[in-house]
Amino acid sequence: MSTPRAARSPRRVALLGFGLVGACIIPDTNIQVQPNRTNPGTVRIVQAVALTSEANDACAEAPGFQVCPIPPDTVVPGLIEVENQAFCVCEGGRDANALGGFDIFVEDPDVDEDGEPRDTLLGAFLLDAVEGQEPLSQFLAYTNYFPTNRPAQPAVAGTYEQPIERPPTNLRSWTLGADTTVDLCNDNNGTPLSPGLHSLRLVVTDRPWPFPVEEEPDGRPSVDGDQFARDEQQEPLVGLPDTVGGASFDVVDFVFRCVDETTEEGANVCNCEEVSG
Amino acid sequence: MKRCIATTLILLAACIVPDRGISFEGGPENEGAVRILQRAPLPEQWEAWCLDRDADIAVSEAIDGGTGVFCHSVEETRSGGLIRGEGGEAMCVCPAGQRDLRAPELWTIYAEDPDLEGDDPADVLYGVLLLDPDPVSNEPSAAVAYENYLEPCAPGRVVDPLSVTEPMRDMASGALFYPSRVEPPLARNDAWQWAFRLDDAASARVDLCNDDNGSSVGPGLHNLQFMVTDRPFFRAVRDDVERLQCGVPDVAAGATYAVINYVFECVDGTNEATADQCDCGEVE
Repeated sequence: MSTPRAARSPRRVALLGFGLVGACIIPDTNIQVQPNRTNPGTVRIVQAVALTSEANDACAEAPGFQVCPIPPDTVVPGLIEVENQAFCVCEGGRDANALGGFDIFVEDPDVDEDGEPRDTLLGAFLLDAVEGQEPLSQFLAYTNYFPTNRPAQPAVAGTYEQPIERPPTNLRSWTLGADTTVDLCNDNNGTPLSPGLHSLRLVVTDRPWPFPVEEEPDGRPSVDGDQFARDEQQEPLVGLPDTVGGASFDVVDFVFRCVDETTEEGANVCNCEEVSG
Repeated sequence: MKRCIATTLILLAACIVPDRGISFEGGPENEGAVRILQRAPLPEQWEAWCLDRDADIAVSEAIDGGTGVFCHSVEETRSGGLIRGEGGEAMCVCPAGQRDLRAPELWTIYAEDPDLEGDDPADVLYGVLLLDPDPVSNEPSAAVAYENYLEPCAPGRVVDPLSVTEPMRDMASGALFYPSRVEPPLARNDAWQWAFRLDDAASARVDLCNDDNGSSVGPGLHNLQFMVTDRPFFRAVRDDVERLQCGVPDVAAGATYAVINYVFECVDGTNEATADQCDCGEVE
């Protein structure tokens, strides 16, 4: 004899309901709830460093690796020096000792739902920038080699695409002087540098260069809804990361010396040539 | 009956959790990469807004973090690139027993790592100074330098960047102001900051040309590199004996690393022809 349907249903439905509700109590172990971060990951300029054979042997024990996964070789930041090869300011306009084309490598961990890089990476060179001196645009340099509106492109990374115990790097790069040399002493947008030491700073960011923040008559920053108001009638502030808009940034510095070809030292160490045409 | 079903449906609907903002652990061992922090070249106006307590209060109603977004996210530190002597003058290799009176003041290098274990840092950051490192050297440890200013390959110290952000009261007007203000960026994931202080506990300056662990460096241009990594530096095992390879990041263990380079020139203060460019003095 079966129990009447009307009599058993409420209890069963309640039990079923509690069972289902109970099933969706998710243990909070290993779950992190984060606030709404619009730019969770940070852009980084990366470079290879020296490793020992023992360190590479240790990496070779990981499946798929013969040596350690590090960024490809390129001109590394710091002092740019080529042995027995000075960089010179040349009367003829071209330094035959100039650097060959080279890459700058960057990575940013932010990806979209499909695992594709989410942020566009931009960079700018600042030459002999003096902290606190404005506008920053006076120090913008070498846009002939490095346009400030050109996003970094996906780079061939080899095993560095997926290093040991790390997420994919989504390595990207810019190539400077792909079809020419990079004549630091003679060709800052067609202008030669003065002889001596020079400091070249590279600023990389994961947001567009910002427009200036508008100012109220009382000197305070202008607010537009839940953001600061921007003056889009002005030029963007190239070289300045938009930290107000959530940008992350990274910076590296190169230092190089330009010798004057016309000096006694220059006569001994320079390798200048005439610009043809 | 109907009430029971409705209650059940409401409870079920309530436990549909949107997956935005939830991340599951258990992926790669070293999710986030270490990086060295430098200050952005902020406009003077942004720096002024950062320190303006009244503006901060005025905009805080509309904007999360108020004028904190105009602030630097790291304490004052030395930028990478060229280091010149005090006043922009030359730094020098000095005669024995003397030191360079234009050597730069002590400074702190900051780094961050985004990996967390709960609210605590998941990784410890280790740092080392290298002099004129050769990027293709087979023996990177040979470049370890200035151990007297920074213990090589030792952990840094966790710091709270907000510690300098306390407002103070102006005695004359009674108004609150920020004498200094550092605000980590709101748009990014939290990351702990680590400090590496160059300090020999004996002087107020880092005598780069004369005191590489008691030795002077040669005249000419030099590259001082600081390397930070989020795993202990690599240890080679030979004949069951472990040997630290300081300056070699342990990439096999998933280490990430970052570097900052400082370039400086030492003029020969022991040479009569160039000594007049120098300011060498007796060691106190």
